[in-house]
Amino acid sequence: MARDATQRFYAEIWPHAAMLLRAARLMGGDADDLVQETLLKAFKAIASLDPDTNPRPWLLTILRNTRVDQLRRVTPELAVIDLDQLADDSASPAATWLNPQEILEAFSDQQMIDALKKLPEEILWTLLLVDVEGIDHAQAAVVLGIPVGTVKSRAFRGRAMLRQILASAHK
Amino acid sequence: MAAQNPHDPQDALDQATLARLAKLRSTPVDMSRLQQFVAREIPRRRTRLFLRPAIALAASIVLMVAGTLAFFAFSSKPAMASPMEMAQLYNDVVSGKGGGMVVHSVAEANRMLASKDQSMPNMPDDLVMSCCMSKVHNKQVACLVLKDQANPIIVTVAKAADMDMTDCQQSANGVNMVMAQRGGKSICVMGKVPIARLIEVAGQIKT
Repeated sequence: MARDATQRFYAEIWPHAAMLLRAARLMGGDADDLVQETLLKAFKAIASLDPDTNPRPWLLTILRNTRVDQLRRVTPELAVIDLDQLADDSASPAATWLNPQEILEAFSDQQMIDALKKLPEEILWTLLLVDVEGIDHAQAAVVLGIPVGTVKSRAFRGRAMLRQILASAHK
Repeated sequence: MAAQNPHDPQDALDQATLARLAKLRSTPVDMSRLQQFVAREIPRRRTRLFLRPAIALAASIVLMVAGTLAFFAFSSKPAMASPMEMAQLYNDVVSGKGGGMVVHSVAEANRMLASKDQSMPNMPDDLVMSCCMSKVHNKQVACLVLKDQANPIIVTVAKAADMDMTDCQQSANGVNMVMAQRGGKSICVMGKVPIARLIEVAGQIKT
């Protein structure tokens, strides 16, 4: 017997709510408000979710689209990211990060989150999907609506930018 | 992009950054506002756990006796565990914290538990079961661990007078749970599996 939308919501969507809230906290604005709106949209669209697939990319797509809608209400035109204009890692080359694992582990979760919030939003989304949530590049590309190669290059540059922010904030 | 080379300082740096970001996946978040919103906007229907005669489960069950898990406040009133606390119990039991004792039948489990004035629901004797007996702030809680494919399912049983549990479904930290009170016992079936599977397991419990 097919389950109704409420049953499916609690079985397939609700277990991922904490993940959505963690992601939303990285964005500006009210994280709870963003996730509430996302969950309602997911509930209404649940018939389109294949029960045999991992719902995480689907939910993150809804979260991102909801976020974009919220931003457009405030800022009608979103900035286009030009990777060539992004800061590179030359100011803090690899040689200055001796024992990078140890250095990065010394930053608290809150310090990492504060640094992530300073990234351009498209870069933030890339790191959120690929690094924080561990979604593969192909799925991240679908969520972000960009080529896989762009996901990889944004992730690489984004990590470099993040390190610069961390290094600058904690000199 | 070239393959990652762990000996390349730039690649090592990139990997270290990725690894640090991955740890943010386990950052705790306050779900209380979200829980209230969802409960209001998408109310659950109460689940009836129809208790049918137990049938053989495909998976085996290992019986363990674990150490004390302290998550209820001491009180003469029934304790009430939050979903977060139950999820923590699940993780503790699955990770094998505390000692364990293998028993080979429900009868053996019940003999072991009889001195604790606690008994397990009926399960088929041909299953090897794992039972975790905990004393939490003087409240006895027995846990059955069922290996359900890759993800263990845990059935916790307490006297209804000790633990208050209304019929409902909950989720916390990726652990789903189905709760009910039957025959003077508070029963919770939980695991990192779909709710439907937990309901299926709950339907095989006979009190």
